[in-house]
Amino acid sequence: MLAVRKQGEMVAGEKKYGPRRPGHRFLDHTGELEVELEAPTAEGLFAEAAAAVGELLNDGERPGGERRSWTEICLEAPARDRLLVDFIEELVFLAEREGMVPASAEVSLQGTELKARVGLIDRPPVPLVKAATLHNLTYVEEPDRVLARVVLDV
Amino acid sequence: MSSLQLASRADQIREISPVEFELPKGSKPGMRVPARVFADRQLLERIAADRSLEQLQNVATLPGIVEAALAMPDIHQGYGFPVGGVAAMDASCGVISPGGVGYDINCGVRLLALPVSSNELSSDQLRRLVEELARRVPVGPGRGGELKLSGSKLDRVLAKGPRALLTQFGIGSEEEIAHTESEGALEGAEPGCVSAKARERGGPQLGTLGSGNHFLELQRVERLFDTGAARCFGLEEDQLTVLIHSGSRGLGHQVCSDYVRIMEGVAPRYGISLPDRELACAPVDSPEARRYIGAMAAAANFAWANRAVLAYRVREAVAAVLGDGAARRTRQIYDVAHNIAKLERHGGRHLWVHRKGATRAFGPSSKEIPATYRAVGQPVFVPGSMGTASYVLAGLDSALERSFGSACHGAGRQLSRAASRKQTTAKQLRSDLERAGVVVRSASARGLVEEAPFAYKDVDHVVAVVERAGLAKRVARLRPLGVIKG
Repeated sequence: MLAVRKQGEMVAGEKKYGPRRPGHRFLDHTGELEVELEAPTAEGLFAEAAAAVGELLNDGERPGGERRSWTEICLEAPARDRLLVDFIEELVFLAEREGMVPASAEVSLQGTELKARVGLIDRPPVPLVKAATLHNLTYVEEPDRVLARVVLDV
Repeated sequence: MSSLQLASRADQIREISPVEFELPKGSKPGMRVPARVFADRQLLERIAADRSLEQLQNVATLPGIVEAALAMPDIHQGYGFPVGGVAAMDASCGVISPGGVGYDINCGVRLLALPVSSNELSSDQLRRLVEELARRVPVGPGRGGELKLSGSKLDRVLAKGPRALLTQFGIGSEEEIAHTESEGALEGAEPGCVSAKARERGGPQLGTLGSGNHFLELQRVERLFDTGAARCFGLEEDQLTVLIHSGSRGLGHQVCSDYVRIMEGVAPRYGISLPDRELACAPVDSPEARRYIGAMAAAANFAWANRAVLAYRVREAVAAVLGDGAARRTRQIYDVAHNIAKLERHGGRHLWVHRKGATRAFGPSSKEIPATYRAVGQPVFVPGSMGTASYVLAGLDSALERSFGSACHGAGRQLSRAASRKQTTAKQLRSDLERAGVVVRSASARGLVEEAPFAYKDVDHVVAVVERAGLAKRVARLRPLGVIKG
């Protein structure tokens, strides 16, 4: 079952919210879908984004330990927030092209360049996500954690 | 909650009429024109409950916007532009915004009328027809269409829309093309402006429904409001119809993504300050806008071709259950876009009219609509929800003065997807719908629940407001019998 927060609740700087271990949750949005991500590191946050996309494309169920095939993604963007949006879009593209669910990722970041090894489950993805948008895009790196929010067009 | 939010804006919102409200130009810094909403007080309370009005005010800040940023009665919060918004930009000094069209370029609706009354079919035949439609129409996964186009064949579809399908594959007909908005092909389409990635995403998806709120519905004409207009459109009481709701699939999504990024990058160079990054835009005459227009038109043509292939599959299903004669006599009433930007002439000015979740609704005086419909106005289709009803409306000339010839595109969501999931389960919803006489086939349990009837506003109320506001008039109400969802 997906956890839901009320629209308008902010995460950046809100110390009491959320565990320090990686996590994601889906927020209320009338027409679209907003995902909130948190992890101790930027790499962890990008990996969490892959887990969130995997859950959405797996019809709302978190993928388990199914066998995966692996593929690599390399991306570059002007800033980390845009890199996150581009990464989510790349996962959606990958799902459409391969007809599989991207369920996990091992991510390395160098500035605003990303290399990721994406694990794909051989299962038809539910093509719920059309795109990741720049609307209300939030990306905050704090000393002990990284937070982000992305609105997805569904 | 919603009443309180509306009350908090009471000093800003001005009532123009019982079905038209306005947030004046000064209600938010940077607004160049007012933000105007077609709604009654009850709908406005719902609309004020999310960020739709704030998003409409943001649209009112865009350079070159004329008269007002408009919202149809089905408006709800989107990303950047609200869904149900209309913005007309001066073609000489305005901007083009990919976000004002949306990711699903030319998402739209096509209505087919079968030559059969629902009374003539047994419940078994109806069920078989739904099964056959579900079997033949690829829904869920990104791919699955039998036409996997690339290279010059895809180029021709991007340039010419359904006409390229007719000449290359014998799909469709001249009559269908004539009964399609803009005859299924926007001028200025430039396949060369569509990225390789967009082509790779879209090429294999031609003739697929997609997911989210896309669907294909078998319906019965439940009630006629205007028998003359219904006769003109070729609709009779109890007649079976099929409504197809789909768009440009991954090709259009990628075109929007590509150009939002390009325009976000160049907007500062043109002195454009954006209240929301997703409102990224560029001057109409800039190279970036010209390339987007070429790519957007190509994606729009692809969407019309997509719905043409889906209609072809519907005819195959009709032939399998009701015979070849019934398939041949299945007529296309019309096909409308509700995510698009078009160059139109209004009040002597050339304007780029962005319709994001809004339908063109030209009246009888327009030469842009098929000659056969000029007596009554352009058909406008308003899908409701899978458990309630959809409407056929006819555009009115008064809409040209009030909304740049636009009307609503649906009932409009009132509950978030998460809120919908809290209220029922897929199993329960299927059972409820079956009891109400609606057979449902869905590739996604989650998707089904998120599109539950209670997630949407009351479509009867929405179209009544559209009619009172003089945007379009009611012609027929269609009751769902079977729904196929992605």
